[in-house]
Amino acid sequence: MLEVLKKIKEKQQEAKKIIYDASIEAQKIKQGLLQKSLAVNEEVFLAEIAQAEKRADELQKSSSLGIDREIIQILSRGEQQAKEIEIKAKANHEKAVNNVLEMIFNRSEIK
Amino acid sequence: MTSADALIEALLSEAREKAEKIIQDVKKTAQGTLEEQRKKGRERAREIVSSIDKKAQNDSLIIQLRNKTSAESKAKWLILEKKHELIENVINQVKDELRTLINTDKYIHFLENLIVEGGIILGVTDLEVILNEKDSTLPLELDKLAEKIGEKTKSKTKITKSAKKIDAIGGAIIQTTDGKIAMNNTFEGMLNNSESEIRFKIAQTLFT
Repeated sequence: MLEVLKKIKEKQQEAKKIIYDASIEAQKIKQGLLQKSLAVNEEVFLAEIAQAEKRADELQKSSSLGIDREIIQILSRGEQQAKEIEIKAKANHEKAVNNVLEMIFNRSEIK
Repeated sequence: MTSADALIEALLSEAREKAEKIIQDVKKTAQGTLEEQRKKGRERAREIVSSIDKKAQNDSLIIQLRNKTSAESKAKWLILEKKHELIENVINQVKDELRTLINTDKYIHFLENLIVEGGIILGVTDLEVILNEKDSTLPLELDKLAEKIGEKTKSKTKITKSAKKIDAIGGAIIQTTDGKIAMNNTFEGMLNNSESEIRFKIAQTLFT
């Protein structure tokens, strides 16, 4: 009987040790967690900023590309206007030359 | 198995379960804590991210506006350059016409008029005319021109031809003999003196 009681007591100690070891392990996990949680916080913080910067870069690139078509249209309109001006001016070229000559010959008009 | 063995087994089993629960609980807490920290990290970055996004939007608008403005400026320059070129074409032809004029018979009369006109404007008695090399050889009747000037200015006027020569298509510089007051009636002088009016008139004729 005494032998049995002794064995039970031993196993009780063993059971306590199992729980104690688990508590120690839990403490280690908690301590590791403290460090890891700070790192995770920083990691997410930096990742969010990096993503925002990437988005900003992409937006900058796309904004240049997006307007290219409009720029081509503006320049093309300018070229077209210049052509129209040239056509009209050529039709009035002789008249303009004569007007200037007239201004020179008729000095009173200049003064 | 004796009842003692069963009791021992139950004790150990209970201890193992408790130990397992302790570990599982702490792991669960750990997951929650990490998730919480991820949330906090995102929260911490939110303001900076928002400012980066806002700046990117603004920068994008600025880039678009700048590129558009630059294109509009280029287009305007294109038109202005074309207009300038067309005005220059007219001025060049005017000069060509004047170069033709100096070889006609009526040029000498025109030149005389320019001298008289300059003399009347200066309104002094002693005048000097400076001509280009070619015009210096023309048979200008300076005395008659002086008379015409005198009639207008009511004073006896004298005109002499300067020994100096000018580099001009035609026309003359009429000046006081001391050279202090001069009237530039060369073709180039007339074009330069009235340049803005001439260009304005050409633009009006060509583009309206």
